[in-house]
Amino acid sequence: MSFTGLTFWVFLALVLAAYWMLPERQWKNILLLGASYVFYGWVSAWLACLLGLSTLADYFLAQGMRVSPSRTRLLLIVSILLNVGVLAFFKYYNFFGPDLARLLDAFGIGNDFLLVRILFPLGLSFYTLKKLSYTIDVARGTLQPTHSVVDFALYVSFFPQLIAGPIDRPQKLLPQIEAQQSWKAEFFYNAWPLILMGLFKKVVIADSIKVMVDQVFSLDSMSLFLFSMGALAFTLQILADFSGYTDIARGVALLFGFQTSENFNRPYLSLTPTDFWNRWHITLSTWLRDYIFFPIRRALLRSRVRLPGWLLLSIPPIVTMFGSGLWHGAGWTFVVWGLYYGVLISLYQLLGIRGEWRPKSPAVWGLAWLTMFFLIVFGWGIFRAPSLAWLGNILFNMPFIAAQNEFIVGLITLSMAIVYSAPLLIKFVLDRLSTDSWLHSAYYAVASVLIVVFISSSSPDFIYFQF
Amino acid sequence: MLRSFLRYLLLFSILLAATWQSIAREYQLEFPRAPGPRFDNRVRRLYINRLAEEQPEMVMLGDSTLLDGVDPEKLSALTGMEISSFDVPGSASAYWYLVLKNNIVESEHRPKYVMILFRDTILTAPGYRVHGSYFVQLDEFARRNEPVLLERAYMGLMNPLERFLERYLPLYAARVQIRRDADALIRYSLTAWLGCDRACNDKSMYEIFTSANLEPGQLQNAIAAAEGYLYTRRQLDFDRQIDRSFLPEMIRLAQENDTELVLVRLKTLITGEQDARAVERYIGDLSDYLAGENVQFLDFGQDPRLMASYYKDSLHLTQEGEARFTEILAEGLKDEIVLDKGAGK
Repeated sequence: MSFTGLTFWVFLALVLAAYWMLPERQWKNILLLGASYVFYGWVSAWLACLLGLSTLADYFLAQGMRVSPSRTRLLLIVSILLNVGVLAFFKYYNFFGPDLARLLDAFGIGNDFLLVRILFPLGLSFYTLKKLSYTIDVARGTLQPTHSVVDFALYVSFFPQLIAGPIDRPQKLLPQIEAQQSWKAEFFYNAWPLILMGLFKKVVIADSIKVMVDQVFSLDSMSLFLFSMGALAFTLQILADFSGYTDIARGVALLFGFQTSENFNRPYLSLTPTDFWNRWHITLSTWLRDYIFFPIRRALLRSRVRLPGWLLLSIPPIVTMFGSGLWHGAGWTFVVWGLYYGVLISLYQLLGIRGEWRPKSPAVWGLAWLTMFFLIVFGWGIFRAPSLAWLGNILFNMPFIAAQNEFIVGLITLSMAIVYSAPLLIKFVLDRLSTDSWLHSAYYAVASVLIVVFISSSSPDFIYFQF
Repeated sequence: MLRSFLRYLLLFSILLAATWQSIAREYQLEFPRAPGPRFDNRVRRLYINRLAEEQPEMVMLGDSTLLDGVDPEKLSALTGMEISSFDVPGSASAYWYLVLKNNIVESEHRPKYVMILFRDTILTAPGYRVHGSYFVQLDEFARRNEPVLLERAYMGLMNPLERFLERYLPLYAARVQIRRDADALIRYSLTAWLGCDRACNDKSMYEIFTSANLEPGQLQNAIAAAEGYLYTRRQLDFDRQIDRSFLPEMIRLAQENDTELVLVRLKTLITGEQDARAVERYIGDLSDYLAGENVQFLDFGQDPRLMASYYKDSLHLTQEGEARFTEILAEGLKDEIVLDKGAGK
C-alpha cells in the first residue's frame, strides 16, 4: 500500500475510526498491530511472516537479557547476528548471487539456486535498525524491556513508519504505545498540514522532477554539464520525495496520537558535511552516531595502541559512513557515496571545521554554503549513478559540454528542477516570516489544487522504499 | 488551529470554484461529463491503404518485439504467403483492437489471417499503454464513439472516487492537459529565451534520449519497470481479466468478418520478480480459452531454440535472432497453422 494510493486512505479511515472507538489501550494497540501487518502484508503475506518471526526473536532475546543478565552479551550478539544477517542476506543476495554462482561453477558445483532472484522486503532496513536499537539499549541497561509482546511488536511495525521511517527509538515510541491515548482535536490540526505537504512534495514536486532525472541517468554517457544538471535535479527530487514521505508518516502517526521524530531540518543549508548529516535523515544519522560512531571512537580512545590524532579523528566517521553506504544499498556507488561523506567529514574536522561551525562573515558563510551545496550535489550524483564505471567515464573522459543538444537538454533539466522545487523555497520563506498566516492557508490551498492536477491513478513508489 | 484549518478550507473552496469555470472554458469541457478521455472522430486509413496496396493473405500485428523479431519478407518466402507486418513500437492490445476494428475489418481487402504477436499477459491487460503519448497513438485509430475502448481501457480501471472526480471536477478531468501545458511552459521557456524554439527543443530531446544512447543496464531496468505491470497479481488472473479485455472482442470481430485470428506468444528474457508458475498457469488458461474459441495459438514462450544470445535486451531480438525466429515461426505456421488450413502453399 502506497501513501499516495486511494487504497491506503480508505484503509487509514477505517483503522482510525475503529481505533478511536475502542476504549482500552490494549485493544487499541492490538488493532494498530493488526492494521500494521495488513498494511505490510498487502502485497505479499510472507513479508509479514518475516517481520513477525524476527520481531518475536528479538522480543524473546530481550526478555532473556532481563531474566538472565549474565547472558546479556551472548544474547546481544545473537540479536545483532540475526538482524544484520537477515538484512545482509536480503540486501546482498541478488548482488553477489550471480558472482558466487560463477565461482561455484568454476569448481563444478551446482548453483542454480543462487540465480533465483529474491524480493527485497520493503522496510527491512528500517525496522531492523529499530529492533537493534531496542536490544542494544536493553543490553546496555539504558532501557527496560517491555513485558508486552504486542507493545514491542507495535513499536517495530507501527505502519506509518514501517516502510521508510522515521527510525524512532524505543525510548520515544514505547512510552507512547504504553500510554492510554485519548482523542484531541489538536492531533488533526497538527496532522493535516504535514499530510498535505507530504503529498504535495511527493506528487507535485518529486514525481515531476523524477521524469527528467530518470531520463538523464539512463543515458550511456553524457557531458559533465548534463550530468551536473541531472545531479542537481536529483538533489531536489530526493529531498522532496523522502521528506514528503516523512511528512505523511508523521502526520498519519499524529492522527493516532503518536509524536514521531523529525527527519529533516533544511539539509541543503548545511555548511559542513557533519552539519549536513545532522540535518538529513536525522533519525538514521543519530542511530549511526550512537551505535557505530561513538562505540568506535570510545574503543579507539581506550585502545592500548596509540594512534596518531588524525587517524583517531578519521577512522570513526569513515567507518560509520561506510556502514551508511552499505545500509543504503547493494552497489559500489552506495559504498563510494558513504566513503565520500566519511572522507569529507574527516577532512573538515582535520581542518578544524566542525558541525556547529558558523562563520560570522556573510561572504565566508556564502562561500562555505556554496562549497557544501556543490559537495552535496556531487554526492547525490554518485548515489544516483547506475555504476562506478559509468560515473568514472563521465568524470574522466567526457568534456564539460559535448554538443548543443546536450546543453539544451541540460537547460530543460535545470528549468524543470528549479520551477518544480520553487514551492519548497517559498514554503521556507513563509515559515521564516510566520508560523501561521493567511499566506500559509493560501499556500496549502494552492498546493491542494496542484495535488488534484498532478495526482494520477498510479502510485509511484517513494525512493527510500528501496533501502 | 481550527481557524487556520477553516481559512484553508475557505481558500481551497474559492480556488476550486474559480477553476471550475476557467478550466471548463479553457479546455472546452462540459460538466457533469462522462468519465474517461475524449477521442476525435478522425481515423487514419494507414492500414486500409496498405492492405489495398499490398493485398496480403496474412497481417502481423505487434509492437517493437515484432519489428525486431520477424522479417516479413523472409517469412513470406518461407511460408509462401504474402505477409504484411503492422508493427508499431509501443502498441498493445487496445491499439491492436482499434486497428482490427477500424482498419482491417473495414478494408476492402481483408486478409485471411491476422496474426497477433504478443508476450505473456499483454492481450488481457487492456490498461497497458493507453495513457500519455500512447493515448495520442490510440486516438489516431479511434472514432469519437468507442464504448468498448473507453470502458475496458479507462473507466473499468478507475475507482469510484476517480469516476466521481472525472464526472464533476474540471480540475481533475482536465489534469492531463493542464499538466502537459505546465510541463511545456517550463520546458520551452528557458531554451526559447536562449534562442532555441520548440522545434529545436524537441529535436534536442529526441536526439539525446533515443534508445541507442541509453545505458544497457538502465534500458533493461526501464523495460522491466514498464513490463512489471503485466505481471501483477491482477494481470496474471486470467479468469478475472478475460472479460475485461479486448481479446473476446477481437475474436468476435475476426470471426464475424471471415478472418482467422492466430495468436503467437513471444519469448522474453525478463527475469524480474514475476512468479514463473503464475505466468505458466495464466498461459494454460489462455490456451484452454483459445481452444474453446477455435483460435489458433502458437506458444514460443519457452522455446529452447531461442537462446539468450539472440536477444539484444530482455525483449528484443538481434538481427541474428530475428533471422532464427523467423525460421522458427515459419515452421510453426506451416506445421500447425497453414498446413492444417490448406492455405498458403
